[in-house]
Amino acid sequence: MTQTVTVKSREGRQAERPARVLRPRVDLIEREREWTLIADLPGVDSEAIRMQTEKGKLHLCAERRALPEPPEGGRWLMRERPLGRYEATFELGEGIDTDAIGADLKNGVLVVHLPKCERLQPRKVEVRAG
Amino acid sequence: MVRTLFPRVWRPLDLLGPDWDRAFASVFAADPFREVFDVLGGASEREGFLALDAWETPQALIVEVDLPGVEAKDVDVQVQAGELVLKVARRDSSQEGDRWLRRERGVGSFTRTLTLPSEIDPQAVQAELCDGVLRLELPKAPQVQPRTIEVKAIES
Repeated sequence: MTQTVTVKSREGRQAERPARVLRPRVDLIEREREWTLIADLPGVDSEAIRMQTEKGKLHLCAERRALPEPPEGGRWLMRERPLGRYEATFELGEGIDTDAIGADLKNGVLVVHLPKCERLQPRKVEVRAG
Repeated sequence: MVRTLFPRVWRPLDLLGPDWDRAFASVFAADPFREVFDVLGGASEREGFLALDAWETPQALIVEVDLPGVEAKDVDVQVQAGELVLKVARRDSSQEGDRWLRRERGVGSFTRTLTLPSEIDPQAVQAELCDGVLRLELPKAPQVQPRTIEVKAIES
């Protein structure tokens, strides 16, 4: 059976997807030695991510690769993906070793490791027999 | 005596406008199981997971889907009876002892079904996943592809 679907013409709608500031979805987890921030950044190259700490804040900015446009003679069927730049700012409390913050990007997901500073690290106390 | 061991570390700045709430609601409240291309007359936007763009060229349909955090082995693409069925799973990466302070990234299995507006060649479908974006190329069946017919000049 062949289903027929009427697809409305999308011509002239090209300009209707303005670039804007996007807020990534994030998870935030506290672990034994660090806080882990996980952000969805699909379609972003690692070189296009800028992260900096300043005055107790962590700024994250990531430019998404340009979305392809249908070639001449083609047309849009669906357009859900937003165009623009991901941005998020977090206020850092005390207890983060800001010099040791590190991040990696895999499968469009950014994982930021925010190690706890020395005094918050779990420590084993040895009990000596006296 | 109970004491707070850890300082209050995170306080999100007030960046979450109404747009964000709506985007969040749209993914989880919308019925992801049944969709046709036509529904998107008034394009909706799903920020982040499963947001989809599709376009048609004379030769093929191209679909790109945002799937951050999904491994290639957890993507299942099927074309049958004029429909494209996309099933994906995003694994839960939490570890034992995790204390969640915020959780916006959904995990689990997701399905989207799209009615194809044109007959395609199921054998020729190609899929690749790069940086959390799945790209599908669905070449149209030869019989619906435009064909240029050569006109021969015949001397009378």
